[in-house]
Amino acid sequence: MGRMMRLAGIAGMIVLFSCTLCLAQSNEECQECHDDPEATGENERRGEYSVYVDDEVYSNSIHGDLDCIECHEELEGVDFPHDEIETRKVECGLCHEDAVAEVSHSVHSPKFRDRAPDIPGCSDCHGVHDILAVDDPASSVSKANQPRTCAVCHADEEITERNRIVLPDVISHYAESIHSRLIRSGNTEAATCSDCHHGHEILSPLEQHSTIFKPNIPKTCGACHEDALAQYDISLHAQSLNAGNKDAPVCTDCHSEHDILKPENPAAPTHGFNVAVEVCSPCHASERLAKKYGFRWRQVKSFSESYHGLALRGGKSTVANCGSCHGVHDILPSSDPRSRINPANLQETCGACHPNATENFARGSIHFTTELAENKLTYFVRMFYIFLITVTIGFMFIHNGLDFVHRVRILYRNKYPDLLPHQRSV
Amino acid sequence: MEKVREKKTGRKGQKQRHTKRMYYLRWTRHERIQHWLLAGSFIVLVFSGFALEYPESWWAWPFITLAPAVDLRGTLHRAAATLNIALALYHLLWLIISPRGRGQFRFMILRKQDFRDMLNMLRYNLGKTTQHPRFGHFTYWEKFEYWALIWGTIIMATTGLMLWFENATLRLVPLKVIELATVIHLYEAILASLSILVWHFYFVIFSPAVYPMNFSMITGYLSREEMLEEHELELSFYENTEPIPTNEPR
Repeated sequence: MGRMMRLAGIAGMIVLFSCTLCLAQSNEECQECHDDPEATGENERRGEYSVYVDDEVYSNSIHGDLDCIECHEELEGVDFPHDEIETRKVECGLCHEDAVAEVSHSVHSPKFRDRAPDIPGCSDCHGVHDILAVDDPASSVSKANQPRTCAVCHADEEITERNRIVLPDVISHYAESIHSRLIRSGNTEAATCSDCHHGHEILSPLEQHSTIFKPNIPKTCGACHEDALAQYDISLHAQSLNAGNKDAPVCTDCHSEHDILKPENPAAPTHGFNVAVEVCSPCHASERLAKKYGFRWRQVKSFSESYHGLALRGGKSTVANCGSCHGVHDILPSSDPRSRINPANLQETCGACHPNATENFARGSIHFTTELAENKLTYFVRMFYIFLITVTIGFMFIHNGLDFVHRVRILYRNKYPDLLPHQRSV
Repeated sequence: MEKVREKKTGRKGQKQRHTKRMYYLRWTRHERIQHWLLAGSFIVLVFSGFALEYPESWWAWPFITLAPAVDLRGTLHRAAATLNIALALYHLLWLIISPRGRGQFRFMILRKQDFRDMLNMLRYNLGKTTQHPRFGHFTYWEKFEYWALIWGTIIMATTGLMLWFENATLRLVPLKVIELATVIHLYEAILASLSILVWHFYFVIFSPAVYPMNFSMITGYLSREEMLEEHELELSFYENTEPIPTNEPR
């Protein structure tokens, strides 16, 4: 027995010693087993699973120069087959500390797993042995491929429901957007998911460091849309937002979020035909907001009932919409001397369509209503007409009605001389 | 003035019936053309105008679906307005220079008797009197309508031209006046359209006396029965002179 023990001990020492000699397990050695497409492993977490690693895919990946054991640390120095060793999940954070740290406080943080069981790990987005550089067009997280990668969860009905993802249709919305269309046509500048949401540090819009936290949205969009941001920054909307008004609109309130379209597109809310109803109305026709902030909420209605509004509703594209006079990003109140609708600037603003506009354009309200307080003359003329129409047409009805009844009675009498109403037997 | 005409009908070689029937000239061909041009332009103006005020209504579809880009609605409205105004000016000229026009105009002048006629008509229809008022060449309802039309055309043409040439208007008057013109143009249009519908269409279409319609604006003539009904005084004037017997038309 003792001899046997000693022999085993020596054998073990030899094995250990030889292993230390060949400490640097080469990838070729691993591939002796893992090159087999049929090769499977089994553990509690994953059940039976393929352990096949395509050598070519791996060597073409960004990590192609790394040894297997650099990621699969726990297998370092372990002899094959490593049946006994419980393989661990690869810890990307060993090298990619920053990325892992960013993810750890994002909405994809593993700490939310109990609430959202399908929270992705690194490999769910980046792949496993096939990880490519972000700027490689074939990468799963390249600009063009990101929407597809995010869609695995964010366009999956079951997953969005199980994980209570608030917006279930973002991917299909994004696919319609000008950003998506540009990227698909080969533009590498256009925004993809991570340009607005960040790659790893994806935060809830309620977190104040989030790129999509309401006050941060102008900056997020302005990263590309510098001119629009510069114009927006001087607007009353921006001033109000910066003063702490959470109702003040930012880019996405007018342009929508994922399905952003060019204003030239008739389907865009910012298209001239839609802007009054889809962009300005939600706030400026809201009695609640108007009361809260003290603006006139009938402006959209008075526009819609004006010639401009009526012709626009009737499909005429050359008439003024809200933006034609108020501007788009740099909207300012008429009291501001820089405002397009400041009385001093109206000649120029109206003059864009009405050549040689005079100061008469400022004498009266373009948002005219028929209310007494706004314009007494118009009010009384309208009231007079309503009275006149009622009386005149009313009289006509009475006059002609009497004539009609009389004539019908004569016709009846002539047609049924013996059947006058009082002679009819019951 | 041609007032009574012999109507010769029946094709050649066909036996003509010789019942004596009288036909009285009501509207000359020239007047009928004026009327139908006016009616045509009026209908187009009403349709294309209210299509602007009520763009979402189902009946505005031709303008909304067919040609939003070329502004079919506005173009039609302005074309019809041009015809309407040209016709109004032509009518004015005709009233001044043509003997027939001057004659018709004299018949059109409102007199106290017209208001008495209206009251008597109401009393008659209410059964307060058995005496049906007797009318001359133009009944009071025709006169009222004519003058309402003149007044309406002046208002609609004035406000319409102000809105059509809004840039010229705004060189002369402040924007407030454009507001006023917009309101007047709309409400006068409502008044005019309803008047035609309730007043004119009753007397020429829906009244049991003429239904399905008074054909004189197509044929130019009224029968003796029709003359007796609406223009008894005029008829008696003619019948005191020598009436010309005519053959009954087929």
